[in-house]
Amino acid sequence: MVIDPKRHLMAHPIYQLGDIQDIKQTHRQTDGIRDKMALYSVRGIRRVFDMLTGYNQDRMSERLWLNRVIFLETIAGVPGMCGGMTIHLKSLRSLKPDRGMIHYLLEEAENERTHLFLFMNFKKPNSLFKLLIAMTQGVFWNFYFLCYLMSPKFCHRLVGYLEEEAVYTYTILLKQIDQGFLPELEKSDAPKIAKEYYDLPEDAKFRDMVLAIRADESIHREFNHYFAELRPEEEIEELDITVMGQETKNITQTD
Amino acid sequence: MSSAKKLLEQLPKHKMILDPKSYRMAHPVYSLKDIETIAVTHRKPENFRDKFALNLIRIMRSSFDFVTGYNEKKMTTSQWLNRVVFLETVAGVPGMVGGMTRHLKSLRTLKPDHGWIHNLLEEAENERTHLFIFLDLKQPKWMFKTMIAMAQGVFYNLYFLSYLVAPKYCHRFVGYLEEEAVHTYTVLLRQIDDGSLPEWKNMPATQMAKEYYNLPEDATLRDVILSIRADESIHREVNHYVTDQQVEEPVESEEVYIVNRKYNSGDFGHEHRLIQDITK
Repeated sequence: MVIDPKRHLMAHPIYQLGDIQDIKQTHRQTDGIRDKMALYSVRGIRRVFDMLTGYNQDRMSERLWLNRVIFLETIAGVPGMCGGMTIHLKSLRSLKPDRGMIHYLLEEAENERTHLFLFMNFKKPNSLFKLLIAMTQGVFWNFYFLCYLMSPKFCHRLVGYLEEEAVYTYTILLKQIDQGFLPELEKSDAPKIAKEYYDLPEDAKFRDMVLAIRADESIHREFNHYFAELRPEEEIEELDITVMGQETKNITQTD
Repeated sequence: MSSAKKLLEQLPKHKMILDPKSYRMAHPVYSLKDIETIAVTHRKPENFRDKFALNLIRIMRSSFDFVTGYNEKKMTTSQWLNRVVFLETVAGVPGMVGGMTRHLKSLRTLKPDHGWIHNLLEEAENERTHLFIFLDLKQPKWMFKTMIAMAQGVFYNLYFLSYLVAPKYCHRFVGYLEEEAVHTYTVLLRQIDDGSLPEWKNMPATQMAKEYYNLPEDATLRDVILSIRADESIHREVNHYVTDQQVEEPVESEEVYIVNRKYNSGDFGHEHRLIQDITK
């Protein structure tokens, strides 16, 4: 996890490309009706979405891929912010501290929004697309907000399963790139902001950016499943944050 | 960038610090002598929107003062604590709602936001920290919490709907709200100084407050209140500034100092390496 004090972004993970070549597609077993509802909602909506967008696991055009990822990343930015806000408001009125969950969720939202802007380097959607995005956001935001008020655990489980699907889809994208079906994207360099954000090497390509994005989604997957299981009295694990552009330096009292 | 520089000049002298070991966002800390006097400013309303916001604030304040028995000359510590705890629970709402709404807007319009989301979220977290600092002094019971919940329910919905329709109005509203906050904290400090609140005259600051504001070991509650007031004045200026912008400009960049909490830094002399600010 790094934070760059020169930029207004929050802490986010970066990776060694070697470590993220293979991200396992895991699936968390459902444990009770709440989990089942979450899983079936995600799977059900996915089926419908795939059908409507002409999703094809074996081969899809670059245009379809970009449409898909941009659309989905606009939705992905919603749950983190909604959850973070709701916990913030709850903490204000219950006067109880929040154990650090708010900032994870806000970071997740910002991370997803960054994914969106990274993909936007490759395609600028038109007005009709934006209208669809706006309508979907209107529906999803309200649905998620109400669900979060009623059952945060359900929501985190939902996002966990959603991210499982995301990791799966990005794996398919990587496979299709490797099979040579997406030559234009394969040739493209990763945009400058992607290299800065993920601390990628100078010669990083689109594929490397997708590797990093997939790794982010897998982290969200693990954390959301973790949050769904968290008991109220448990403390949340903190990840170490490194400051970018700094080696760690020990300061003694006499400095 | 000239208007951005003007904003920074209006803020009290501060440094933004970030503790990478803590989950908190970057926030300002001060040298106590710089914040001993903070001007209670008032931005003159210029158009209908401003007047509407100002009058609404004045009406809300008068009714609240009447109901809570506010007295600028003398109040008890209990009354003060009730007031500040209640108000800080309300203060945590606008920043978060603003940040959230901008985030959603950025997602659906596919336009970048230039750093304002983060700024507003920082403001919300800052206000929530104020709340928890005061909660060390008073733990309200269920009736108080019910009132807080009701106020939040009303305010959150009104503010959210207003923000969707008229964000500039909302920022002006918050600007005027923070003007009142700076005024009220100034009155509190005056009452501490002239002896009306003997229990607070020499009360030491809590550990959390000292760490958050990077205060020296012998800091008092008064020093914490000075810092809180300075925070409110920053929010005041920033919110007025956002409303005044004709064209949305990026958030001005400030140096962020990294502090190493492991070796509990008492004053700026112990801070970690300086990060050079970038010129945009």
